[in-house]
Amino acid sequence: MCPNCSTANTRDRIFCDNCGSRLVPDEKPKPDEPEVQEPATGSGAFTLPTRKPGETGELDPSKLPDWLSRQMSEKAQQAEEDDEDIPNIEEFQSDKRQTDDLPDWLIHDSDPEPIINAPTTISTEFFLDLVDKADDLPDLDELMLDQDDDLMQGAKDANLPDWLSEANNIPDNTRPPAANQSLPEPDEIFSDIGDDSLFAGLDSEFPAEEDDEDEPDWLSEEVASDAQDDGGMTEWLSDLEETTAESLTHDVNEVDEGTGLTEWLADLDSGELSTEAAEPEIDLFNMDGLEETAVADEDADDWLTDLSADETETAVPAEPPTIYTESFPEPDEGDSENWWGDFTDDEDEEIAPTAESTESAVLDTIPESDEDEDSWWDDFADENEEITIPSTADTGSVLDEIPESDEDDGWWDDLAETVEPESPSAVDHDEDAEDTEDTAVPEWETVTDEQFDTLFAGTPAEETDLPDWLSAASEESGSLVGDQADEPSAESLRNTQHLIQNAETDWLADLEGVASETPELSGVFLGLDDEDDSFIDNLAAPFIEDESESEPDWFSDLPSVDTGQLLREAEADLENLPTPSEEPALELHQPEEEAISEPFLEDDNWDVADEDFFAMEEGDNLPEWINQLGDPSSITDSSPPPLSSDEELPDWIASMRPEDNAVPSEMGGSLSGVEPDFSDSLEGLPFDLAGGDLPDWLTPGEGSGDIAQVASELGGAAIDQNPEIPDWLKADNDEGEPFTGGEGDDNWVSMLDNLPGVIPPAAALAKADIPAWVEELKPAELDDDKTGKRRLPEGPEEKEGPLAGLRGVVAVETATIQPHTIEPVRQFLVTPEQKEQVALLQQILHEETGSGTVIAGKADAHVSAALRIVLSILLIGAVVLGLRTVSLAKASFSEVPAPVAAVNTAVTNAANMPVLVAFDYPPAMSGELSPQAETLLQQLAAQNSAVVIVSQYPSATGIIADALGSEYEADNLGYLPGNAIGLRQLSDCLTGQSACNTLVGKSVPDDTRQKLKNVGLIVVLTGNKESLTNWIEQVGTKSDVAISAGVTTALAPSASPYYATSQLSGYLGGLLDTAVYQDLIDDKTQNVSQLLNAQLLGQILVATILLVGLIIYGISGSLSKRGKSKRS
Amino acid sequence: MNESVGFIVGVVLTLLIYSYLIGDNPLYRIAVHMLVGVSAGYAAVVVIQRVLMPVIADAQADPQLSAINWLIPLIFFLLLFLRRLPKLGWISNLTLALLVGVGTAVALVGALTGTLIPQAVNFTAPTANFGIIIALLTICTLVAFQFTPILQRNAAAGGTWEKPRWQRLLTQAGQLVLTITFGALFATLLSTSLVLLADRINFYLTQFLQLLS
Repeated sequence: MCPNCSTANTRDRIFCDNCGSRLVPDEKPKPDEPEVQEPATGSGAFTLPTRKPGETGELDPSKLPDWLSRQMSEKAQQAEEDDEDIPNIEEFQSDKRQTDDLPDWLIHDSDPEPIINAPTTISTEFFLDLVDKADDLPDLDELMLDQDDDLMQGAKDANLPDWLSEANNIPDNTRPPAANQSLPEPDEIFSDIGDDSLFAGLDSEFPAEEDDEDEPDWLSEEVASDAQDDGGMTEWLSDLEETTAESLTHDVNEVDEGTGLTEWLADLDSGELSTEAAEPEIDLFNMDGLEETAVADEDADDWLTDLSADETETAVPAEPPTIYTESFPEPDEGDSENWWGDFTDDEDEEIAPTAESTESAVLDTIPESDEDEDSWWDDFADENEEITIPSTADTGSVLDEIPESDEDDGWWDDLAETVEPESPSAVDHDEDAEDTEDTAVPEWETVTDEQFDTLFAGTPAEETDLPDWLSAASEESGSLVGDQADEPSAESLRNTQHLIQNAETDWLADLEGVASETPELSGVFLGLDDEDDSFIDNLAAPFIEDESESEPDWFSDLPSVDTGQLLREAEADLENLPTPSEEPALELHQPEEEAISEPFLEDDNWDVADEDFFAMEEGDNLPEWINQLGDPSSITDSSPPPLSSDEELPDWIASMRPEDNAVPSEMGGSLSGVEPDFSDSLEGLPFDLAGGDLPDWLTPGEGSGDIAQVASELGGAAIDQNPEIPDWLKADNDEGEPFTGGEGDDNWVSMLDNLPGVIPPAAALAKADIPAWVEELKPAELDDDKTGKRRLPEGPEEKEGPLAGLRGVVAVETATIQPHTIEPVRQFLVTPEQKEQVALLQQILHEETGSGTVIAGKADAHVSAALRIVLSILLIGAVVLGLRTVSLAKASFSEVPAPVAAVNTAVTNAANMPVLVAFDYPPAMSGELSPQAETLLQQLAAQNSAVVIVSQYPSATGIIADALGSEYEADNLGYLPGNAIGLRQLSDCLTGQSACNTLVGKSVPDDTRQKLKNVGLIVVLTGNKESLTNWIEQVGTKSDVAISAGVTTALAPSASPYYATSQLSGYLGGLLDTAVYQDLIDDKTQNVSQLLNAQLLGQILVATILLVGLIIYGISGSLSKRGKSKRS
Repeated sequence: MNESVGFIVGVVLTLLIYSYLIGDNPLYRIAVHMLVGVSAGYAAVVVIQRVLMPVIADAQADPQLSAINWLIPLIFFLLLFLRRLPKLGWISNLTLALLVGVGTAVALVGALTGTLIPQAVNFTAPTANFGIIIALLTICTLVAFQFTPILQRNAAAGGTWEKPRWQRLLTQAGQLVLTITFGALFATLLSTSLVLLADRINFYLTQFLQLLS
């Protein structure tokens, strides 16, 4: 169900099909949430959510805001996809580094013992051991063997100074000084900075370290501090502290280009440095670093390679990094320039590197990060707990500046991760060796020349390409960029090394170590060749700050830094840091159990942090958070100023300004005031278009980004005239009304009013018809009578029990006491009739089985065949005997059968009349019927009767011809097909009802037709009963013509009934009747007596054989029964 | 000569047919097949000569009249040839239907008017007793074809089905009448066969004697 329009949607829908609103709450953080944060107010504008006092351990990732954790993962993936050349951030993380990335000489597979054992305390012996192990390290060429050939070639071909050329033999020259070696005093360092022999002295400094006399004092003190565990600082730091107040007041604009040292460096020796002035130098230093980085190129690689190698061998903790690396928003596209320009301008004025302000600044700047380049947040998440030392802000700021020249944000991640373990506050002694081994891995050494070029390619060499902040810096530093472009890098390096040489400090080596692990820092160090003294200021700042208070040995605190101990210390010390000038050095050396970092803010304070961020934007000339850096005391007191004007904010920040009418987010925590994500509206858009350029009229520009504001500024006329505005936006302004998008827009209101209303789903359903039987089940009390009153249930009211008071209760007894008789299911009831039928069928089956036919055997078959032959011979003999020899028939018959006499009568009556004679018998029957036919034809011819011959047998034509012979003339109709039908038609001719021109398709001659019409007698000679009946039924019934029949002996019984009914006018049945008839008419021409004798003799023979057979069968049967009875 | 050849062929074929006395044999089959074939051929020739040729002669003499008279019969005739075509064989049923329908109707009408009704109406017994006897024998013959008992005895008790006595008597009387009738028919048929045999033998003897003489 859509919460917006109440439209039913399927479960799998994320967005409403009707209104498009999101149905499923978006749990993922909005990538552009920082853009919609409300302006922060209050003094704690940059007080990022940290931890409550007392909380320890690292930040719980689960406690991170969703948007932050999501950005961390997304940006990490984005960094991997965008830049394959730049190492992934995970590679720089100490906990994820793998030895696969390490050179072989660092892995030492053969030696189970690690190259550098993490010492619990750093002592001289430890350094010596490291140096000894460093002897096993390969040469620089071997070290760089896996690197790009161009890089190696460039390093070799570069104009390296002598000390750099000899730096390849650093393992031989960089043995750590002995414990009793004295380090050069800071004043010596700074005094020698401007000396041209700095690099030369550097070359000689390393071997001098082997001398006990030249051993830095800080090492000596460290030995003592290790033993005493007092954490004291080295002498030079102590001296540096003394000179801090004055030396850091140096004006950075004064650069002694002739000597390569700025004045403040020169004055550093004289104690003019001061902490107040040192901090503004940070940006200058940063700029210098960047500028020098851009120019250093290949020389820097080699130099840093050497430094890294040295640092790896000596395992000197690197310079503590700064959280400013993460505190500044990552430069992004063109907007970053303005942003940084503003920032650097503000930062130049005052920076208060207090722990609280620094960390708050770090966290406050989180929302400002670009949504596409926030991988540095990943680093921040890790470092937020560990890196809290405000004194490291300088280096951090330097590091932050570097990526400005590189558009790839992954670079930032790498850098941040690289710096982190090198921080003295983050490096644990236990992990020092491992981290050193890992971080000392020249990941940055693997950066090729092209990468370096690319890395610093963004650093503008011309003023026109410089960002604002660089432009401003260049103005202040006296066209620094141009100078750097003209000066060779080798000289810069020489100056830097000279400074280091004179300083004779291990901290310089530490710095080198930092640089060796951070290629970005290498660029920073390369900036030393510039006369800009900000670098030295930055370098000296932490030490000055540390030295300002109790001069703790920060080296000894290294183990506690990584565990976050310094966080607590820094927080505890924040209260004691009223001003930057009085900023005490952190008590780095704390007991392990006390080194518990505490967050500054609760999770609930994220809102405040967000507000603080926007409050920063309201600053006139300097963001508020920067002011806080300068004045930590104002963190809690100052109220956030209103949102800064657009001129003060970079465009990309201005574009993130939340709209005035933005709906606050329902998300808790720091995002409580965040406008709901509009990323859904970007769904379906190509990824490229999502971040594409907007048209000018849509670009907020100087505006706050509010659409309504833009619309109001443009006005209706402007919208209509602006060709870039789509028509669909102009369509609403047809009436000339400006598009405001406000509540008073009648068009919109009218459109909304005209929209169809939402129909409840229940109303859309059709009402079902309740069947009658369901209605009957409806309780009576629910039915309303005519009066509208509810009917009460009928029946007695219950008096007792739980149903007391109810009416119409069905008595239980009546339902239960009723006897029930269950009738058996008669599924297989067999009726008596069915039993009788079954018995009958069984009886019939039994009887049939008993009366089966007995098949005779072969012997019987042969006997039977022989018998048949014998019988046939007997018959033939009898017939021949009867034909030829024996005369059994009477010579005359005294009695004439009635049928025979009737035939004679009929023929006699048909005298002189046509007589139709039907020869319906086949030739096989001619032996018995042909004598009749000849006898009758002779009689008809004798009485002058015309004869019409017809036959239903085709084969009878031959018989007719034989019968007629040449003696008789007759009209032969021939074959009459159709049986009964043909006879039926013939009867019509006989009756004269039709013309009878044709008979069965055959034309009938006129005389024949006339004869047929006048036929007086029909004589049917047939041996077939059907033929006889057809004649009687079809012809005899329609005409009055008498029908006489001459049939065979076998057919005589069939003709007898018709004769009995007078349907036949006599018949001659067989040869015997023929003989009688011949005798009757006295026809002597036909001698049928021989045939008759043969028939009689044959009949006698057959009768005799039948009798004999019966007798034999009877005797054999009786004999067999007797035999069976005897055997049984 | 022709009569002699005809006589020899006739004698041989007759002997072949009579060879069936010793059982079914190829000679008998040959003689039967020749008889059937010759009879069919002879019938075909007769039909062509006696039926078709006159029609053609009429058509030639008067085409218009023949066309009118023989158009429909010719169509039905041609339809009979479609019976060999599986897909069009059903058309030939029209002709067959016509023939069977008309033939059945004619036979039915003839049976009613020429056999049943005249036999039932015009039957006059010589004497009254003879008529009763004929009637009883006719009833007995009909009862003989009643194979199931009309009455049941002890069927419910599981007894066998037995015809009542009166039914058994009538059945036996009917069977007796049938036996006498079939016996008489067989005797008449035997008499006819003996006549035919005697005629054939007489013919051959006559012819043979004539040849000898």
